[in-house]
Amino acid sequence: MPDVFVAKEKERQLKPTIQDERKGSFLSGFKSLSAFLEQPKWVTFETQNSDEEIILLLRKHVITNFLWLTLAVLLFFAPFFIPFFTPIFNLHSIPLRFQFIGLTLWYLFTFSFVFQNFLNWYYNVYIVTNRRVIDVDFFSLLYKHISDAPLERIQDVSYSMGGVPSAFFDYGNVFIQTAAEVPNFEFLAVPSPDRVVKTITQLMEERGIVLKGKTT
Amino acid sequence: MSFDEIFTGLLRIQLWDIVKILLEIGLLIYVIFALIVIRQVDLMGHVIGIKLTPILRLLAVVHFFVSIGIFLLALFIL
Repeated sequence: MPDVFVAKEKERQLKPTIQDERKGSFLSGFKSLSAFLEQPKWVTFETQNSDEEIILLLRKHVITNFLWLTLAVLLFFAPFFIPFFTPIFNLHSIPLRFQFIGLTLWYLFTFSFVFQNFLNWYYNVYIVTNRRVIDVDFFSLLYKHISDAPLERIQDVSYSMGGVPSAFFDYGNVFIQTAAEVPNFEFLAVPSPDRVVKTITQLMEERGIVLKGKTT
Repeated sequence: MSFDEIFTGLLRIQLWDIVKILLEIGLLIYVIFALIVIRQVDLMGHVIGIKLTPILRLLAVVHFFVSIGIFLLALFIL
């Protein structure tokens, strides 16, 4: 009977095999590069409570990295054009050992530039859990700023999208207005801002919280 | 050593010697920066536990050792 097969299929889906788990573990490394992660089980954060579940993990949209990535590509290929400028700037006069160290340094700086920009993008995240919203900001090398607000303190959630890239790649800013003693939140350039707003609103409704301006 | 001898000695310093000293100082600062980057990745990984953190930490460590290698290389070949 067809129902029997459906039941088996459902059972298989609920209980993933060891291979599935390994595959998931391997793929999750790449999945973590996404700017919009729903219920990422493999992600934890510093102040997470044992019964707290991450519902959304957001970063700036991948396309916002376009500028520094383009610059990185230009930096990478720039030394290839040195021979064209050699006669103009008399680069022959530079000793070979200095040229070698100079080139090595150039690529070291290029790597550093890419690495710093990637780290900034990868670790500056916005987290929505079943209890609160969290904004994790890293400034310069060793300065971090983490702010959070419980869902109960949220008074209004809205979003805005503007400009061609934003409309084309579907990203925008989410604004979360909170009670006066808690700072307001701005999730900047996050993908699918409408879904973010919807998710936060749903979470608040599940907890019986009424948004400012809404009547039930 | 008289003032004249010191002055003559200073005049003998060539342009590339100055460049070498500046490069070495710059590289030493870079090695310190590379060390701070390792700490930065540790700190970031401590705040957010994501799968790529060990790979990024490895990259930071490799970057640190490469910068030490280039510093030593510059010290010997320049």
